[in-house]
Amino acid sequence: MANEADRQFERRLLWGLLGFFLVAIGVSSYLHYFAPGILRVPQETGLPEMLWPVPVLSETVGYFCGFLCCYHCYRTRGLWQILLFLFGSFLFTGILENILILSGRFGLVPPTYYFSNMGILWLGEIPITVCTGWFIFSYSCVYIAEVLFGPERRVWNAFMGASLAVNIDLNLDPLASHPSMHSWTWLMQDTFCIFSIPVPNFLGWFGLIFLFALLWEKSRDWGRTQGYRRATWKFFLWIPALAISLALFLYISWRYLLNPLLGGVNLTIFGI
Amino acid sequence: MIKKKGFFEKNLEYLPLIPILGFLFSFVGAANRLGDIDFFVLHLVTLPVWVLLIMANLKIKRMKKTRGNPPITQPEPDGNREA
Repeated sequence: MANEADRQFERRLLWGLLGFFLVAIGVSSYLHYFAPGILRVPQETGLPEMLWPVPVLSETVGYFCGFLCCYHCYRTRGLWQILLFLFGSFLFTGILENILILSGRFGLVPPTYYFSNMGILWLGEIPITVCTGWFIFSYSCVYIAEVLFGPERRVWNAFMGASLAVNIDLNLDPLASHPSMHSWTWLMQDTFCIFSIPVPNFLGWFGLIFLFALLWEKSRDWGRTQGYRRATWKFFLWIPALAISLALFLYISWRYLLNPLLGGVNLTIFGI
Repeated sequence: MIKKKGFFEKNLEYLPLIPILGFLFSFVGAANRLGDIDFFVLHLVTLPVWVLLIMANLKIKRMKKTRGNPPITQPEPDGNREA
């Protein structure tokens, strides 16, 4: 950002986004704990006493890991790029996961899943830890791909970064959704599963990171050619469009492709 | 103006790898908590991640060796500090 006006815009963007998300998190957390009837929060999603260290640890470790990625991005790409990546990934995750959870909960589609013992603060019906986790996975996985294959191969890097994240989730999801861990609970019935985890989950991981990484890289071009103000608007308008399209794609593939063709199949080892 | 490098500056290129490594190790802890041997074996699934992580680590090490460690200067005013 070359001139003072752009730098001022960068600062205003920081405070604007921070303010927006703090209010959204405050309202969501209030609704989750003190008015659970409004969003029909399942009764068991409070903080079970025996599991109390898990949300606190997830939250603390998540923030620290997020800080490492933020610091790296700030030092290598500047404030504007990290603001777009951090808040963009929060918005993308927030919209996508809330659509998937709430559409199932309010009967628009069959029940999908819900989060329980995962964090303290909430954004809609997803814990902030999940948004932080998405941010970390997207940033780190795409960075690893960039280191290995060179920064100019954008589509390949987004593809490899997303594949890497899906690979990590093949281990993470069976552990986290195990009844003893109870971080989230799957409600999808008779669908195609890998390690007892519905396949739309892995499609969602791939789609989210692949699309977001491409959009973020594209925003740099927009910034250079069209100015940072316009590029920021374009970036934040593309996010809901992509999140809603991805949610629709996941729903259609789940209901009309995976369920009829492979419903009830569970690819597993050791019965996991 | 030349500044003395701190831990984060010295290891800047490695910072995004730390969370992934942390996640992978936390899975071991989680499997231990479950007390189920099958979940330890499930770690084999993440073998490609381990391989790519090690390769990225080696490549960063090699890049740092060839490029050297330039002293950290004051950030450029345009914020474009791509390596």
